[in-house]
Amino acid sequence: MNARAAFQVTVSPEDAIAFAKLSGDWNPLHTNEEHAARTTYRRPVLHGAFSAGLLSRMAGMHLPGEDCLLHSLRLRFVRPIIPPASLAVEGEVVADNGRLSRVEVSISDAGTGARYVDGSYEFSRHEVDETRSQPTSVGPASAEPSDAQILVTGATGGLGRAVLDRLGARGVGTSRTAAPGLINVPDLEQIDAAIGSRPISAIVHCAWPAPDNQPLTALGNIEGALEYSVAAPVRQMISLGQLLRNRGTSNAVLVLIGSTYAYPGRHNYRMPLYTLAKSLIDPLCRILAVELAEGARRCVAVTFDVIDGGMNKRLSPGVRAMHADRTPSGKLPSPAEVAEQIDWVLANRSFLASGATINLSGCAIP
Amino acid sequence: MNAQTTDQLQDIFRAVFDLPAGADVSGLRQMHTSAWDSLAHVALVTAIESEFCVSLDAADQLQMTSYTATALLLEERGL
Repeated sequence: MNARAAFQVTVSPEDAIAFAKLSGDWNPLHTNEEHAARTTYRRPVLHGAFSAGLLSRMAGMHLPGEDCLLHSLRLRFVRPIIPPASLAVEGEVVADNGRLSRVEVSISDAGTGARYVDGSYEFSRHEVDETRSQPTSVGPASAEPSDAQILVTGATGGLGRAVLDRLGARGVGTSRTAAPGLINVPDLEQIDAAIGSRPISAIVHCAWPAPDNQPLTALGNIEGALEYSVAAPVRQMISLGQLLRNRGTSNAVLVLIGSTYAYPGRHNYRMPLYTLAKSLIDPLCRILAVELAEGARRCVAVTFDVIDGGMNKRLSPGVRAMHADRTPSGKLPSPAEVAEQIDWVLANRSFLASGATINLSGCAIP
Repeated sequence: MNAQTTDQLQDIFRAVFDLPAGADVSGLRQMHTSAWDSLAHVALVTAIESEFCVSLDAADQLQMTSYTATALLLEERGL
């Protein structure tokens, strides 16, 4: 057993409501924005007991994992968690007498490192009677082979991480840079060799080069700029299509993440190369859908507007307000809310769900 | 943004959109305000530039999508 483990989760206001439904704790400090606005916290505070679930995940999935038998659990709340928030959960085995072990856990802000919760738990191990037959399914109901995986590219980014959190045990993250718990894939065009032999039920392609802000007419190295911002992303998407054709299960789907930057007039084309590359997703999705259909595989593109996190996390308040004003709802989605929509797309396994670019921008205007 | 600047900005919005004195403009958004057409936008830009002695370029003007966004823009400009 490893002595240390860590994972990250993104918590949205909807998660707090889901926790209230599950626990029956509808205290307005956690669930009512108007009530919370009159408190010193100003916004709804995440249930303290939500953190108990994160310690449960640490125990049942990591330290020690499958054979865990939890004996006790302790929490100390250092500061309130106000969703949306990205949390880093870190655990370490600090005592082990051969029968009982103790793990100390910290829950901190994934961005700033500010501590939210200190906790600990004690565990021993339960035994399994190997002579009894195994259950046919231990996870969410699925028609997929039990070892099929959903690959998530760009899993260290804001959206990729949120998608991976949403998928839980169904997802496998890949990243260009080495990161704990993720498969290191320095070159997506070589992904086939890096991900092992498990079949693939879906690929959610979140990885993308950082956007540019350089007028096309001012480009010095045109070839290099096109290679980095346009050609490489297109080659990567084609490689992922090939991977799905070769390794995908029946009905497997490649989900390409588009952007409203591809739409006419968006932002006066302030990120021209990014705009150009993202605009290729729609036709590429249809071409791949036709080609993949021969093997009963699919391709879908999903377009979002500005997401409140990830590459947009450094937006100024004014620019954030401007983007929110472009949507009828007046709200920007969190990465977790976008991940929920991607999960919704993954749940549609119809052969009809292919070749489409689905605009989930909330009707944002350019 | 201090109280005086806030009052001045709110007065500009009331004047441009022909709202009564004391009307709450804090929730005004271009998308949901029928009177906020291109002419009103130009009037808004001109009034703000004149009142606060600032120059608003095309990018600034695109950022003025609501009262809140405009106030935040002026805050970013040091007002």
